[in-house]
Amino acid sequence: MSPRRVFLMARKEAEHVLRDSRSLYLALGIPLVLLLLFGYALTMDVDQVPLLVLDRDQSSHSRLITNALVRSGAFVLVGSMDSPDEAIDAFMRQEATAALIIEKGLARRLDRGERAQVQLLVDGTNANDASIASGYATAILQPLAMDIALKSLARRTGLDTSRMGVPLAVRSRNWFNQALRSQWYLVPGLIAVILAMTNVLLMALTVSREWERGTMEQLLSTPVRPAEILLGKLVPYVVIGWAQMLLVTSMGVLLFDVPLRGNLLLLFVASTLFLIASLGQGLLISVVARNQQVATMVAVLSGVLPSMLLSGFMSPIASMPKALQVFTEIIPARHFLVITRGIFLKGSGLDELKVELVIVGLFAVLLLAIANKRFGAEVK
Amino acid sequence: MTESTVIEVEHLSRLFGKFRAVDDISFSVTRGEIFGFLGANGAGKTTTIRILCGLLSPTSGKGRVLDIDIGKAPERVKPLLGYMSQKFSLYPDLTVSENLELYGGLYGLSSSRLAQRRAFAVEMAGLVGQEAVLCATLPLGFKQRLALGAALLHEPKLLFLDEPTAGVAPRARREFWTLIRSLASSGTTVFVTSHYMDEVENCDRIVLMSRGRIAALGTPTELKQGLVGRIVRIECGQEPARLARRLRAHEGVVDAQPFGSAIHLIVAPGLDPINHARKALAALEEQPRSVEVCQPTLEDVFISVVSGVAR
Repeated sequence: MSPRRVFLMARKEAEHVLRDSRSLYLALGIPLVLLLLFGYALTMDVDQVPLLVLDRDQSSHSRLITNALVRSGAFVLVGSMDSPDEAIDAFMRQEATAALIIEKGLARRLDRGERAQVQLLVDGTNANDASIASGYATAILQPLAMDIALKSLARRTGLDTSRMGVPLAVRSRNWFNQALRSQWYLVPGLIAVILAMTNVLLMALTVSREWERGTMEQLLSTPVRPAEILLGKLVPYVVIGWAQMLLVTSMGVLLFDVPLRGNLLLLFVASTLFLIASLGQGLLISVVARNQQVATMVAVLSGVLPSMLLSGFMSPIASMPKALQVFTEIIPARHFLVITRGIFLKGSGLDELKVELVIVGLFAVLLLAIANKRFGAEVK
Repeated sequence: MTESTVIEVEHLSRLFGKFRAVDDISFSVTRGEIFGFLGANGAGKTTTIRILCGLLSPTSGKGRVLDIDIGKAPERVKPLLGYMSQKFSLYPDLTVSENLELYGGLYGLSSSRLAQRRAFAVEMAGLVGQEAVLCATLPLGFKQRLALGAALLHEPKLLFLDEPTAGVAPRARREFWTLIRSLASSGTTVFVTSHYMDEVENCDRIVLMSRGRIAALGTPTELKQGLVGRIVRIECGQEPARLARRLRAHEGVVDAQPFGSAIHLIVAPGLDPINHARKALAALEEQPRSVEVCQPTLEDVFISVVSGVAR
């Protein structure tokens, strides 16, 4: 291994990237776009659900119920209607996704201590949003219902109910992400997704491009060794990966207030290992594919899609089918995701993350070794 | 292997699956020679060059290049060779200087020698003052000469050129060959492949490759010798291909090939060429504009040899 030749290869590779606007965009533009997209647009929080109300009771009770929903911030009142049919129309025109129907006689029944019901219609087209919206409504109205029940009890019996309540109550607190902000959950994962998708793709193109142009042939006729070529290609992309990591981390912290509770150095080391694993994967693809189109396809199928869909970035692995859960084990991003979320949100240290660190490290070593071996075999 | 032998190949073969890209070839090249490899696409020229450059291992047989066994130590031969691959493979997004510095550096040139050789290569390519130009913007002829310059940075004793003039304008091709000849006269051995028959006349010796095998080997004069006085040029005006096909079926005609608007007819040895050609034409009731004996070209040799091999 000659340091000079590795340096020459690395410098050449850096020049390629700096002069190719597409590579630069892929390396730095994509992370920026993804971050803004996931941070602002694709938030999975459900709030401001547009709500229609049909209030046939027009009592203080019915207004109390409506107000409770709107005050919570989960719903926003967009209008009132005269018949339940209007709810369908509004759903069809996408002017509302929830409709509250309060029948006449609600106040009277409640005052008499009888059971009363209100109806909430929800547009179920988006199953996830619908179930969250109904959940909100239940959670908001339950304490209100209790309150009404106790007050009516007090009035009818003269008991002091001010200290009464539900005998068994669940009081849950969400640790590490108290407000359950999806940005907190997404941004650390986004580091894994961004590093995986851009670097697998970028790297997959570098070697295949040289096969295509015939420059690989020329390089291999010089004394430069295959391993020196690969190492030289790796170096500039590791530096780019660091820049991506810095970009996403600092934007996450500054723009979305994502807490960085763990050790920054640990995050850096883990990211570097993961970066090398992704680059190794890209190299392997590139070495074998020999043409840019095939390399791109394979990189998207084996790198971009799995790290977005099967890494636990958006949907929890625990809720995937069993066979798929086993499959996710061979996706490096899945393990790195545990590390980034741990370091960012939980403040986990080396001790808690050592298993994942070893796994990511193994991926890095293994993928590079296989790529190098295949490259060596490919040039003979 | 004598002292002046630069390349020695014995029974060399290379298979890709079941395909015999190179099939049991043997030859040797001496110092200062311009050695030409001529053949159609897929005849095995590039495969041979790649084996000799240490880029591909032979399936069987032996090859020694500059006294190094290329089957055993391909890495040792690489620093000693210059190689210019088919596509003038410089990096289009690097400048003239950057390309030269990259290749010079990879060959381990010291910075002072690199500066000196870079200047030489830039001048040879006719690119003085354009060192900072991106290679992508250079015309093909300049790219080709720059690629040659890059292959010569480390002053190799042996130079491999794979289709060095493919796609280059005729004038640039002639200039290129002047360069090659001056290199050879200063002691560099040049191994060159081509499918341009005319330019291979510049070679000291030629191998004709067909389907992975050596169909003929010799100096251009030697190769043409067997055809001297046997080639008749028939100016026929229209449909030379069809007439050639009909002539080929005639007794005593070894081969007939269209050459533009004319036909080159090879008659069997010992026959009077003009008489025989006229007889054949009369039998076909054809009235050509002219019938005359002509000097064989390498193309005639190539076609006759290849069709001989094929039969």
